[in-house]
Amino acid sequence: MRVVLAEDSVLLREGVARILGEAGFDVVGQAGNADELMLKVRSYSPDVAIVDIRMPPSHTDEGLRAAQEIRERHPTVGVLVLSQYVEPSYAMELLAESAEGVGYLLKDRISDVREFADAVRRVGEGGSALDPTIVSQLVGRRRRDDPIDQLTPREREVLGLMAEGRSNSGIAEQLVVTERAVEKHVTSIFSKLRLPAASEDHRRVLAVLAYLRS
Amino acid sequence: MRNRILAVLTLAIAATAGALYLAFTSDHEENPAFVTAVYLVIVWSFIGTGLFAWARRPDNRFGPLMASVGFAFMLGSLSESNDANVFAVGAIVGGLGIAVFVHALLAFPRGYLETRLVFALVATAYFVVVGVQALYNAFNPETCDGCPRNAILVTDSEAARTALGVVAVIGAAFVLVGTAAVLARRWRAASPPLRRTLAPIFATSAATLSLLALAIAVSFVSNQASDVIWWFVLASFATVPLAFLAGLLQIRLARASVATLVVELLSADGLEELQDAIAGTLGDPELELAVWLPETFEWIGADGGAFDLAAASDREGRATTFVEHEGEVVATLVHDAALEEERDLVDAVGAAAGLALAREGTVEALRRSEGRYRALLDAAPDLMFRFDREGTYLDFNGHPEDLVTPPESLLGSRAHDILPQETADHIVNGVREAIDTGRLVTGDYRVTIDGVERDFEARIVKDGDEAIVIAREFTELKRLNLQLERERDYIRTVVDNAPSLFCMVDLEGRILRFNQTLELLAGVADGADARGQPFWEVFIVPDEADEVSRELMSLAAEGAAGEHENRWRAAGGGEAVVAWSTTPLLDEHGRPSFLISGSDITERKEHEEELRRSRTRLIEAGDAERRRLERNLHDGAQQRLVSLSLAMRLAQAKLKTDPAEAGKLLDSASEELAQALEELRELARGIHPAILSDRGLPAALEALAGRAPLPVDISALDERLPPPVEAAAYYVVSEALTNVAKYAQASAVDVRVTRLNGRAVVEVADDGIGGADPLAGSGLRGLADRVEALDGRLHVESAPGRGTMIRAEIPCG
Repeated sequence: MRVVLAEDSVLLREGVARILGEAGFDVVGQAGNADELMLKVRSYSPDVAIVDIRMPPSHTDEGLRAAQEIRERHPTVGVLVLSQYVEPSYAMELLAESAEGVGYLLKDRISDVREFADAVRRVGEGGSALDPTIVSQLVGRRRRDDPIDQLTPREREVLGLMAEGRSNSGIAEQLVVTERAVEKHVTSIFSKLRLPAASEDHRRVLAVLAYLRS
Repeated sequence: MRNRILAVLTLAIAATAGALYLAFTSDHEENPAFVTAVYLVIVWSFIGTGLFAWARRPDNRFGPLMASVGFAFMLGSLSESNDANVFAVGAIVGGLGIAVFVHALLAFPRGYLETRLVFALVATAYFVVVGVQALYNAFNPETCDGCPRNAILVTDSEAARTALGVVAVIGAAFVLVGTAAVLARRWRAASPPLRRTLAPIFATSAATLSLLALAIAVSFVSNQASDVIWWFVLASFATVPLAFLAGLLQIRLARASVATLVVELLSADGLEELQDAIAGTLGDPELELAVWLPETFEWIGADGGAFDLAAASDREGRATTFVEHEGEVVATLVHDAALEEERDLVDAVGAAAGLALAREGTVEALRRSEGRYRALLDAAPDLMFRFDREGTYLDFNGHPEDLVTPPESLLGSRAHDILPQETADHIVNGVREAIDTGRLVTGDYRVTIDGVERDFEARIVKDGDEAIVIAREFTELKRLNLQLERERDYIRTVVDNAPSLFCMVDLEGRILRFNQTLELLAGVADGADARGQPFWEVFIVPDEADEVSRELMSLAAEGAAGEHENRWRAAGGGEAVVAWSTTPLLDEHGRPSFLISGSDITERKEHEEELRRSRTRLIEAGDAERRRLERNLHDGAQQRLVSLSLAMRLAQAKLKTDPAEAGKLLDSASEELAQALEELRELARGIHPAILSDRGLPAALEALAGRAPLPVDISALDERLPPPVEAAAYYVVSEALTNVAKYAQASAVDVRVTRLNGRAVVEVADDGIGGADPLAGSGLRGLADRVEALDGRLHVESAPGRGTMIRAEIPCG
């Protein structure tokens, strides 16, 4: 899987590139700012672009804007944004229209190489990856007359994992249960939250996120 | 008309010729030349004036009546005839002239007989003069010496003659007395213009009739004496037409004065002057002028008020004349009905008035100028005197200090007794001119009052038989005084209304006077109680009074003005901080004194103090925040990194000897690292949330809501505000949400951010227990400081049991 990496801190960029290389990814290009990133994406047509949200010159949200541009111009390229902020609204901007080939992770996640590689792969394959911290904030947000309160703890866990963008098998693996059990939970959650059932994972993510944000 | 007059004139000449022939051919007339001369004068004066009057007023029968008197007298000359029959007719109609005269007199001036009494008088006169004479002659065989015989003699009867004589005397007495009574009554009822017409005729007629009565009365005693009186009767008779002519002439004179009137009217200032001028010319003091306002369809009087024309013209003896200008009715004169006799004059005056009214452009303009004139008159405190013709002071209006002598010695005195000869002449001449002409007379005069020469401008107007002098001073002194007065008023107003505190003190610091602002501040009235008291005792709080008194005392010595700040006494037992300084100046008597001027800076001081406190708190809060950060970094991330570093070293050391142990160490180090990262992230957000500057208030508030442990509804305006405002709003909500979570026991929170009149309004309302004290916690106090630093306001409503509402209003710059 071909990866382009954009991160202004050379040390971190090299570290991430190394981890990805060791995990079997092919890092075809590295960039220190958004312009360079766009050039590399255009040149190498990677499967996934990993982008730091904060980059020169203003160190605010260049990465996020570049990510959106990539999604518009190169829809086949998955985008994974790395951020140091636990701010759902950034993630939601990215996931606004489609959860296909999109990811938003805290930089902390890099240290868990296996999880990180898994997320990169999911995004590269057209799936989605949302940081568990963000998801837990979305799920944990208090609402008036909250139907989420009706979910069992397990169902809540499944909801969170769905929001992270994991497939049923991924969830089963994570929770160490059968896929059949996961499917049962998913059906129960959708009926409790009065959501229409969705088969494809990325559509499911979008539905769940839309629900959580409302 | 002309032909008729010519015919009558021809007849009169022929008759005269006949009469002359009879007189000079008479064999019984002893002195034909004299008699003829006398008769001709009387006869022709009556015929002449009669025809003249007839020509002037063909509709009036008075003219023909006058002429008839002449012709009737002429018939008397038939008695000069030598023929017995003609002589007999002449003897009967000889006195007809007197009856016709009575007729004419009683018909004057209208030309016809008005009442039954008057008709009876005239009938009686004809009966006595012709009827009784005829009967008398029929019973009287005697004629004059050398006269023809009596052709109508019936019989000689002494008794009949006596009876007829009595009838004649009674009849004559009735006619004379009745006529006198009628004339007297008419005179009394007549208005001034009518009297002017009646006077000459009545006077001469009355004289004639009186002489006639005397002649009749004397004839009982002595025929010779009676004959002498008869000559006087005739002479008096001859004056009647002359008097009539004089009356006509007077109207002519009045018409001549119309020319003067035009000039006067054109210079008249206002409707009242116009009315007075017209009234003067027509000799009708009650004349009223009403002006038509086409815009409002109403009549206004000379006084500018509404005028009831119908009521005015319906009054007995009043008539109206419309004044036209260029075919439009512009005004009406309501005047004495007798002026109808002088129609031409009234019309001429009306035309002049129309001209005068038109001169003003429009009647509206006239009214405006009238209003201005009146306003000026009302505003100016004029001196007014009423004088009679002789220059006697009858009345005055004005300030006694503008008089040369005290008012009590003024009234009843004459101008010449009080004023210098020249000035008195000047004024009295003006008064007479005004009374005589009815015109406005103006002039200047100078008098010495209390040793000061003062100039007055006088306007003299007629008022009946008297004149009113309106005097207005134009002395330079007066002007300067007025100017000074106005300036003083101005300064007083400024001093009293200025926000500054003013107090004048003498060199010992005793109060001379102070202004209204200080009265209000101190609650002390500027009066006898305060004046003369030491300044510091009245206005300064006790513990600073000594300091101020020393300050003022040293000022007297050094004369320098310094800036001071002291606590002054304020109304109601309070005190005020006042910044004050002093300026040396002279008081109104020229004595050196000091003006203390100060301004109440209590509020400014309080504000400054509050600002200082708030700034201090912000600095302290900043310091505290930095200390907290330092402590958190030191206790948290730094500690973790230190232990991480230790763990790494240990793992490194064990890597070869005990790889399993090294793995465990690295696992826990990794754990430690994750926590350190988490802590750093939290710290960073505490310093400044990146999302606020990146995405604005709504996104940042959403994030806050997401972390809040209870439902938070956010409704925020979707526009970017200046960063400091966004930050303040963010921290208001953040702090409020923290407080809600900690204390409110609320089930939900509403957060609203709106924009109102250029201010961002942030409201955080919960449904908790309320009772929050905005000043108790450092949190809210800090928020208030932050908001106030941006010129905003923080408002907390937190009634127990009704939730808490925090509302911040921050100007958006």
